[in-house]
Amino acid sequence: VTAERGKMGQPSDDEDVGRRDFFDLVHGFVTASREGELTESEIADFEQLLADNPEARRLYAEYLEATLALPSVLVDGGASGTSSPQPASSAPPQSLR
Amino acid sequence: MEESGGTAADRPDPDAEFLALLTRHESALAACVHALIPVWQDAEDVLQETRVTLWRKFADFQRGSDFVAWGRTVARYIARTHLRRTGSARRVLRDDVAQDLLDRMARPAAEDDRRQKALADCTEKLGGAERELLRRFYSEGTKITQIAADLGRSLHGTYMALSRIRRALMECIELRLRQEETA
Repeated sequence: VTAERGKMGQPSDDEDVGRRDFFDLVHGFVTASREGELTESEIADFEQLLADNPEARRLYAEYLEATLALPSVLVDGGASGTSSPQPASSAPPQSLR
Repeated sequence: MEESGGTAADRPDPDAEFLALLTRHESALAACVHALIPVWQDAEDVLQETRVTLWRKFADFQRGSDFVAWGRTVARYIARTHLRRTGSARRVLRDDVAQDLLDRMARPAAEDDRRQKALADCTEKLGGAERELLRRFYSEGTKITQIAADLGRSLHGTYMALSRIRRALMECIELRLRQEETA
């Protein structure tokens, strides 16, 4: 996966890093993080990208929110996030058992 | 934002109320933690510790206040102690960057609901194979290499398919939200 994300979205010195590139960088970073492949150097580079670019921060925040919401959306169509608090299930979440 | 009046200790079934609040705000709380900590597994460890701490301290939660904001405060404290304990303090975003991300995520509940609805509607428009790819990667947590092997596809093709789907989702959500704003 590291090699795959290396094929896309890496800005060059003479390339204007546009919105499309930000998406590729954000997607590549989060995907590598999920796969456990990030290095501290990559984190530092990404942090600098975020520090320098408000658009990258906006995209990263929205990408993270969508990524974390996807599991519930894929299960129930997002019902848990679009209505009033639901009655608790009969058993607590696995993480709290 | 949630309800009004009294502390959690006054309620008849605080465990049920806590679970309802956690279920409703789980993904927002998780996004806040992941905004602080970019390494996925570190963030998941902190998120788990945050859930348990919120549960134990739920009697202190002021009814009517913002559950996610409370969770975010607890998560920041746990993140600092967790990362110090595990010696991975450098694997956390610097404060000004993390704060900007958290500020962007701190929207009114109605706006969060609107975005969640747009995500759900856009996901519904995907084909079955696309939804299955998302489910295996984001819900099951299956590695891309394994998904590629199971599908008999190349790693590159599977990675690119995932990237295309996520980009299409992002563009669909942004279009939906723009259309709603101009309607």
